[in-house]
Amino acid sequence: MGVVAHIDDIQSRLDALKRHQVETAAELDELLPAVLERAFRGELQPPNQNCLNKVFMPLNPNCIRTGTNMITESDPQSVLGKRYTRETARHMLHGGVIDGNGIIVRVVTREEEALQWKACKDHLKALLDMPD
Amino acid sequence: MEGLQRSPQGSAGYARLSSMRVYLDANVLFDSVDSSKTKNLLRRLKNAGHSLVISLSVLGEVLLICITEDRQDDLIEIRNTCAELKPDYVTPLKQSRICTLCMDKFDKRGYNLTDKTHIAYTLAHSALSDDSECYFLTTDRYLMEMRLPCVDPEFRCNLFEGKTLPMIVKEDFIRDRI
Repeated sequence: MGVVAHIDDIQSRLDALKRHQVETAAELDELLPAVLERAFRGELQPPNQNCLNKVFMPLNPNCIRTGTNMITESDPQSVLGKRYTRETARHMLHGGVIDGNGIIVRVVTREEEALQWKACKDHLKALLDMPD
Repeated sequence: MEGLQRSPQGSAGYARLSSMRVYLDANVLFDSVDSSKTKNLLRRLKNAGHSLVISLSVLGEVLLICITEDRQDDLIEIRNTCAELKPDYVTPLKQSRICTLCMDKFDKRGYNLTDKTHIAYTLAHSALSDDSECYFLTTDRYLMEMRLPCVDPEFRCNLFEGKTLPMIVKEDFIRDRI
């Protein structure tokens, strides 16, 4: 295919895309009054909470997402002595140690993490201000 | 003993301690495949009751090399070594990220970020560990010359306040200690 034919091909695809965009915009414009009418009549349902959980990660660092998309509070120490799996790994929010048999033998707590953070917080600020 | 990092607090120094935690570099695992000397050293460490530790980043590097260089046999051999020696495996800490950044800012020579990450795991986990003396064992000579920010009085943070700093060491050093 020559260069001119190639450009023509791209141009025709672009035109088709623009036509599709105009049609979609028109359909949305038609849909909007109907949606608003239902909203004013109170017929719109609030979004399903489970769907929201799929989209948003929990803000509380002690929360974890389980396989069922339910958010539950978890004690990181609850996995101590258990086998390291993808599931138990999710509970090791602050890291830890797994022994040679695949057993979680240490789970770092939030307090330990905070102590480390406290020890070098000011140092980190200075590092970030440092030119590369 | 080039490149060794002495504790700024002047604590244990090089005195023999009852318990050591030895963090392994990826090259030590690869050497253990070809060199019986290296493998025996790891066995001796384990039999003497010391802990061998492998970080997630070292595991990642081993896997990457075995996949990209088509070294399935080495991967199986390293897996067998791990099954025999049963090292501990450490996962990332928030602190390991900070230590990586700190090393990056401190020593601007051409050390790659993967090596810095391995050492950052060692630093972060060592700061949490008990009285064990911690080492990062490598066979890379150039790593022995890396300076840790933790030994610089003007650069270090308070993470190792009152604790013994881990050291970057080679096999001979560990051999002399056990």
